[in-house]
Amino acid sequence: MIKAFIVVNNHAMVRLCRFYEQLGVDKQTELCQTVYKLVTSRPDHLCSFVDDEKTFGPDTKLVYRHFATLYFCILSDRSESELAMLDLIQVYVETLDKVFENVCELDLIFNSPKAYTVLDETVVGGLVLEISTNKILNVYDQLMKLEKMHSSLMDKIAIS
Amino acid sequence: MTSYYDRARGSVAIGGSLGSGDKTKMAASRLFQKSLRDMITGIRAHKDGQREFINKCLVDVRTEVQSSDVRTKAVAIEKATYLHSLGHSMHWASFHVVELMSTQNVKYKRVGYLAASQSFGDDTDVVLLIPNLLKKDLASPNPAEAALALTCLGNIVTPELSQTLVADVYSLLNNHKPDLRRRACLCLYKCFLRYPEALRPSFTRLTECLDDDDQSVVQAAVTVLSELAMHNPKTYLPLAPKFYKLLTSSSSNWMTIKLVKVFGALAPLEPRLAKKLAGPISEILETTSAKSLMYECVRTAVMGMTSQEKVIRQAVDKLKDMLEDHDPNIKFLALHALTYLLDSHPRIVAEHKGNIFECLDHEDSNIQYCALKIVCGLVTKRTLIDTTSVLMNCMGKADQRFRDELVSSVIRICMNERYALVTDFVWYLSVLADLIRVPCSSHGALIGEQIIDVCLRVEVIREAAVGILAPLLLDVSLLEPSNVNKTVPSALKAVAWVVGEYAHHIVDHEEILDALLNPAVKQLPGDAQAVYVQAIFKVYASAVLNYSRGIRPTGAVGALPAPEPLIDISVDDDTAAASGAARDGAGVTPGTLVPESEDLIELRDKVSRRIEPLTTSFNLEVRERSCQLQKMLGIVGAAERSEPGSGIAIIEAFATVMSDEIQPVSVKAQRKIEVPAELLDDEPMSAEWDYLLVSSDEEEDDEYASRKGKKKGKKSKSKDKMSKDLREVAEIFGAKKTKEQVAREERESREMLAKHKEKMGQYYLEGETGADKEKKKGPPKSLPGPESAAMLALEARLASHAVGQTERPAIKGESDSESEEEEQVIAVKKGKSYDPKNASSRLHGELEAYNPLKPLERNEHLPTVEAYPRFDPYSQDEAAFNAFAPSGGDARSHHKDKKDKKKRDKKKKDKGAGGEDGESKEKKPKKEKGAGEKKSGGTKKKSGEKKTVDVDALAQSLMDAKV
Repeated sequence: MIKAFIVVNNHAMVRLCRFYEQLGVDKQTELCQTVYKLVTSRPDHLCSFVDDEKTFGPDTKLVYRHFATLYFCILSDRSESELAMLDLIQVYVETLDKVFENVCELDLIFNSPKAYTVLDETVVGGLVLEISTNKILNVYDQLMKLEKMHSSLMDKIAIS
Repeated sequence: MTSYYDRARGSVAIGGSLGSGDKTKMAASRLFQKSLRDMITGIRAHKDGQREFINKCLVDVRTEVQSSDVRTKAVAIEKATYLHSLGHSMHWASFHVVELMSTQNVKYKRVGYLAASQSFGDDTDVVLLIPNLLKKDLASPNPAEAALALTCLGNIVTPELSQTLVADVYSLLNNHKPDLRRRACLCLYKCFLRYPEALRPSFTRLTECLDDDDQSVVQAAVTVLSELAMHNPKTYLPLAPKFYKLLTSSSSNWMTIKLVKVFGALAPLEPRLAKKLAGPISEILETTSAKSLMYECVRTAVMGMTSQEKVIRQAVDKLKDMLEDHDPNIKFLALHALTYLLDSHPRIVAEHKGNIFECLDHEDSNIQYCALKIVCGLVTKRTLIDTTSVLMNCMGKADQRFRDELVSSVIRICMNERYALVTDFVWYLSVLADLIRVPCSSHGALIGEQIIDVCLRVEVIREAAVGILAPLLLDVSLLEPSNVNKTVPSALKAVAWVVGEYAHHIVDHEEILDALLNPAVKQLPGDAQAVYVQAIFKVYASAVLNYSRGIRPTGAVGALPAPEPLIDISVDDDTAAASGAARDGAGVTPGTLVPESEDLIELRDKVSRRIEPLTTSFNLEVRERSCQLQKMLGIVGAAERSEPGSGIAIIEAFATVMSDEIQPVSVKAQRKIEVPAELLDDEPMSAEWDYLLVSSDEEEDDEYASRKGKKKGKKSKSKDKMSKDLREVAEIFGAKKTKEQVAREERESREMLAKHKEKMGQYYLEGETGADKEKKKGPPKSLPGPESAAMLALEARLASHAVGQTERPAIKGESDSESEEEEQVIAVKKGKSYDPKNASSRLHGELEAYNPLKPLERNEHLPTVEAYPRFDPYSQDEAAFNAFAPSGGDARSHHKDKKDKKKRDKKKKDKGAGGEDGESKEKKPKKEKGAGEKKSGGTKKKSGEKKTVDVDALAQSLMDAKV
C-alpha cells in the first residue's frame, strides 16, 4: 500500500501531499521535511530508493524521482514494487503534463485542486486505481465536462 | 472599503436587478472575495511578511466561509485547503466542508470532498455528521458522485465510518458500472483495515470479483487481495489456484507484477507452489520486456523458489545483466535480490563477486551498503584474507560513514562465532593494528577489546603481538588529540596494556619506554594514561630483569626470591611494600647480586624524571600510579647506592610477580569450584540487618503493587500502606519524636498534599469526594516531612506514568520485565518521525484474527445492505443523538433474522422516534437519556437555523436518518 504521496520542490516547499494513513498536521509537515532532506541530500545519479528504517520505521520505503524543480516522492510498504512505483510517478507526471499542457511547478501551485483530482483518479486510499495515462485523462475530461454542464445547469436554475 | 462597499450595495439596489438585501450581500461578497489564485499570488509576493499575510488570509477565509453563498464558501474552502497544505490546519472549517459536500452542484461538492480528503482524520468531530451524507452519495444515481464518495471514504475512513458504510460500499460491488465496482473494491480494503469484522462476510464476493468480465475490476480485486495476502500470506494460501490462473492469463503488466509479488510471499509457505510456478515465471522472464515485471519475477524466484534450480539459474543470469546495468536503480535492486540467495545458494552469488566488489566503490551509499552486506555474507575461511584486504582497500576511498561501517564489518566477520573464520591470528592482529590507523574511525574501543581478547586467548601470538603493536606506541601522530584520532586512545590503551603485560617479548626496551614517556601522552584521556604508567613500570622491570639474567651466568631462577610472599606484597600498598621488599629482598636473595649498569641508571633516571609531569595530573588514578612509580624508583636508587645490586633485586622481585600472565578462564569455570563447607551463604548476616532487608523488600513490593493497583483505581489504599512503611523505616532510622513534632509534621504534610492535589488534581483518580474522604480519615498517622515530599514526588511520577506512559523515563532493570518491554516499544516509537496512528502494518495484525475463508457462522448471513452490522455513531456518544438512532449496536444481534428486523422496522415507523426512545430506555440510565434528548434538540435547532438551499440537503439527510 502507498502510505504517502508527496511533491516537494528544490526549496523545501511542499507542492502537493496526500497521506493515506492518519497523521496529524504537525507530523505531516515534519515528514515532508524529512523526505525533502533525504532526497535533496542525494545527487541525481544515485538510485531512487531510500530504505531508512530509523526515520520511517519498519516496512516503509521511499521511492522518488526528480523532475526539473520538483521531487515526486512515494512512501510505500513492501507490497509495492519499487520499479512499479517509479512507473506510477511517471504516469502521474505524464497525466499532469497532458492536463496542464507542459506542466511546470506553477501549474501545481495555482491549480493544486486539479492536481489532486488527477491523483485521486490514479490512487484511491493508497491503492493504485489506474496506471494508464489515457484512461485517467478520459475520466478526468468526463468529470470536467460533467461539472461544466452541471454548473451551467445550476446557473440557469438560479437565474430563472 | 466600507464606503465603497455601501455604494456598491446601493447601486445594485437601485439597479433593482436583485431585489433582496441577501442577494446583494452575496454578490458583494463574491465581488470582494480574493480568489485562490489571488491569494497564492499574494503569498508569493509577500516574501518578507509572509506569515502576517497568511494570517490575514486566514482571518478573511474564516469570515468568508460563513457566507450563505455557495460559491463564496467554495472558494473560501479551496483557499483553506491550500493553506492547510502549507501547514495551517483547517480543522476549524470542518463543518463548512461538510456543508459544501452536501451541495447539489458537483463542482462545489468536489471542492468539499477534496477538502475532506485532505483534512479529515480520526479526530475530526464532524465525522459524526458525514455517514448519512456519504451513504446518500454512495447510492447516488450519478456515478461521478458515487465515485467521489468512494475516493473520499478511502482516504478518510475511520473505524466508525467503516462500520456504518461498509455495507453500502459492498453493495456497489454489484453496480453495473465497472468503474464503480473497481473503486468499491479498493475502498473495501481500507474499510477492512479499520473495521476487520467486515472482512469475513464480504470475502466471498470479493474473490468473485477476480472472475469479473471487466479487466479493471479484476485488477482492483487482485490489488486488494494481494495486499491482504502480502501481510498475512498463510491465511490466503487457498487463493493460490485463482491467482495462478490469473497469472497465466493476465495481459496487464501491472496486475502481473502484483500477482508475481504475492507469489513471492506465498511460495515459501507451500513447497509445491514453487514447482508449479516454475513454468510461468520462467516464461515471463524469457518474454517480458518490462524491467519492473522481470525484476519482480527474479525476486519471487530468489525468495520462494530456491528449490527450482533452473529458474534460479535463469533469474541469476538476469541479475548478472542488471548488475552490469548503468542505471543505479537496477543495480541496487539486483544487489538487493542477491542478498536473498546468500543462505541458499552462496556459490551462485559468489560467481558475481567481481561485480559485487566493484559496487563497494559505487558513489551511491545504498549500493555500497547492500554490496557490503553480500560481501560479509559470502566470506569463508578461505576467502577471509582476500576479502578483508579488499575491504581495507575500500576504506581509502569511502566516505566517513561507510568507512566506519567497513571497519566494523571487518571486525564482525572475523570475530563472528568465536573467530570461526580466523585461522591465522597473527594476521588478524596486524589487521587490527591497521584498523587503528583508519582516520576518524569510531570503533577504537572495539578494536582495543579485540586486541586484548585475542592476546589473552591465543597464547602463541603474544610474542608476535608485541612486535606488531609496538610500532603503534612509537607513532607520535596517533597521540595527537584531533578529530581524526577520535577513538584512537581507547585502542592505544589496549595496545599499551598488551605491550606492558608481555614486556618480556620487547626487543628494545628503551625505545618503548621513550614512547610511553612521550610528553604527548598527557593529552590522552585519564584512563589511558593510567594504563601507560602501569606499562612503564612493567617495561622498566622487564628491562632490568633482562639485564640481570644476561649477567647472571647460572640462570635466573636461583637468584630470585621465592614468589609466595611477594604476591602478598604486591597486593598490599605498593609504596610501603616496596620498601619492605627492599629489605626482605636484600636479605633473602640467595644468589649473587647484580649491580646496576650505567645504562640502567640512566634509564631509571630518565623514567623518574619524565614521569614527573604525570605526578601532578588531575586524574587521581594517573597521579597515584605515577607517584608510586617515582617513589619506588627513588627507593631502588637509594638501595643501589647503599649496596650495589640490592635495588636491582627489588625490581627483579616485582618483575617475577608480574611475569605471571593472566590466563583466559571460561565463564563457566566458577561453577566447577565447590562451595567450601564452612561458607554458609543461607545464614543471615545479623538479626538486625535482616529486619532492615525485609522491610525494604516489602517497600519494593508495595511500590510495585501501588503501580499495579493504580491501574485498577485502588491508589489510596496502597498509598496508605506505602506511607506506613515509609514511616516505619523512618522510625528505625530516626529518634523518637515528641507528640507536638508529630502533629506539626502531620499538618505540614497535609498541607503539602492539599497543595499537590490542587496542582496535579487531574492525576488523582478519585475526584473531590475521594479527597474529602481522605481528609476525614486523615492521612496516615504521621507522614514525616521529607519522606512525604519524596513520596509525593514518587506519586506524581506514578500518576504521570499512568496518564502518559511516555513521560516516564525508561530505566532498565528497574521494574518488571513486562512493563519494560512496553516502555521499550514506546521509546522506539517515539524516536520515529513517521508514526501514523493507523499504520497499515499494525492494522493488518488485527485483520489476522478474521480468517476470511472460514465458513460463515449461523448468525452471520451473507451480506446484504440490511444484514450488515450497522453502526450508529450517535448511540456511542452517550446517546447524545439517540433521537435519530436506528437502534444502534443492538441491530447486530437482530440482523440474524431479517424478517424480525423488518417487523421491527415497521414497528419503529409506527411508533416514530418516541418508540425508539422507549426501546433505549431499558438500556440507558435516565440521566443520560435526558442529556441526550437535550443535546439532540440542540442540534436540531442548529440545523434548523441554517435555511439555505445547501444546508437544507444536509438537514434533510439528518431528518431522513431520524425517520
